[in-house]
Amino acid sequence: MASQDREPGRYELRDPDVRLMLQVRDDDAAAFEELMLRYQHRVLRVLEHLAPNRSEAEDLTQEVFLRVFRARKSYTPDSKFSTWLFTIVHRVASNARRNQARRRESQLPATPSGQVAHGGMEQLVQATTGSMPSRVMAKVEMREIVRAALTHLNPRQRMAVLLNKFEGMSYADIAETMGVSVSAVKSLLSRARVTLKDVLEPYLAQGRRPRSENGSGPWSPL
Amino acid sequence: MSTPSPELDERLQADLVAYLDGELDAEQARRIERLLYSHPGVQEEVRKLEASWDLLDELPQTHVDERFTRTTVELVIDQLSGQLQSQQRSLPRQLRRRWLAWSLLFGLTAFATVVALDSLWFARQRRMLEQVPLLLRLEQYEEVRDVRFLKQMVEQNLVPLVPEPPAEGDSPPRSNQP
Repeated sequence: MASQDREPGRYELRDPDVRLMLQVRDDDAAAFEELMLRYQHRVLRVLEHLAPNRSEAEDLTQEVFLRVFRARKSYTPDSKFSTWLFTIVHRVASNARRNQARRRESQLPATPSGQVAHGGMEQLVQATTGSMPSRVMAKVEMREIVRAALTHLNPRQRMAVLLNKFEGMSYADIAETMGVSVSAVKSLLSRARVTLKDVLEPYLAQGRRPRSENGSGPWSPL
Repeated sequence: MSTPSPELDERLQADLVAYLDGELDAEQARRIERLLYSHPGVQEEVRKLEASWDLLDELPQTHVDERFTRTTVELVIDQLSGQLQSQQRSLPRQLRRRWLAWSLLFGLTAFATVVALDSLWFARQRRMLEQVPLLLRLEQYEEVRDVRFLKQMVEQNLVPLVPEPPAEGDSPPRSNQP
């Protein structure tokens, strides 16, 4: 199976997005736009859970597509297009996290309001649900709780979860995207799912809001 | 946090998650299924893992508006035009460099040609200068008329082959004077 996957032209035949990317390599602007339309929301969806806010996630998404465009001449169809693309997403997110950590080191300690923005789940939920009808409020509250639960994962676990859950990637594809072994992915996902279960269990069982994870924002170090 | 059953160590947790993700081979999957059948605690653990995982589906879908697509395309176009501009800026420099290289090559070739021609001309001049003593005594040699006799006279130093250099202050020899 693995040897079949490495066959030259294999992905070109099987993956229409690989064919589009090959057109981009030949400076076809329409093909690039088509690829963007197909993938931008998927990339943004992943980066939204890795970046501190939507605006930062949008900037990173644009950075991803700029990199895709810059790398077009050296593109070779050695894997599925989505695997190649999310490898870039992973690198962009990792770089951004490192830069953020460097900036944080050179700045004063975070203000209490900053901590609330990242980890104060209850304040966050109250702020978003204060003036809404109860059913809508419950839905919004649940989303915020799930979103906040993801911040309990370290960035590598979160990346593995997002690729597995949202992109439906196999362990092998996640391993290729993140540049780790399949057994490492298995371990990352197992720990992540156990953490999610532990954090969300009180909410599932009794409707209680889980404890907040102060100081563990999306860019929290590994 | 839940306390895992004695069997629920980290390895089993990883296998349960991999089972839920369909990442186990047939033999490993059968082993997990036997375990699920015989251990209600493991069954409960799998149910909780699934329930919390399913909650992620509640996260909102991400919408991307047309403005975002347009901005990204504009960014790419900006970059492309930036690349083109920098290529255009570097073009005169490339042409200048190429012109300089050709000039240098031409100069070197011309110099080599001059040196070669010059050395050929000097060789010819040297050969002619070597013949000067002979020319200076040509009239005397012609008077002998017999080459064998002349050779003998030369061998016996009766006739010098090369004229003696003039003494300092003397005027140069004039062969056509008696």
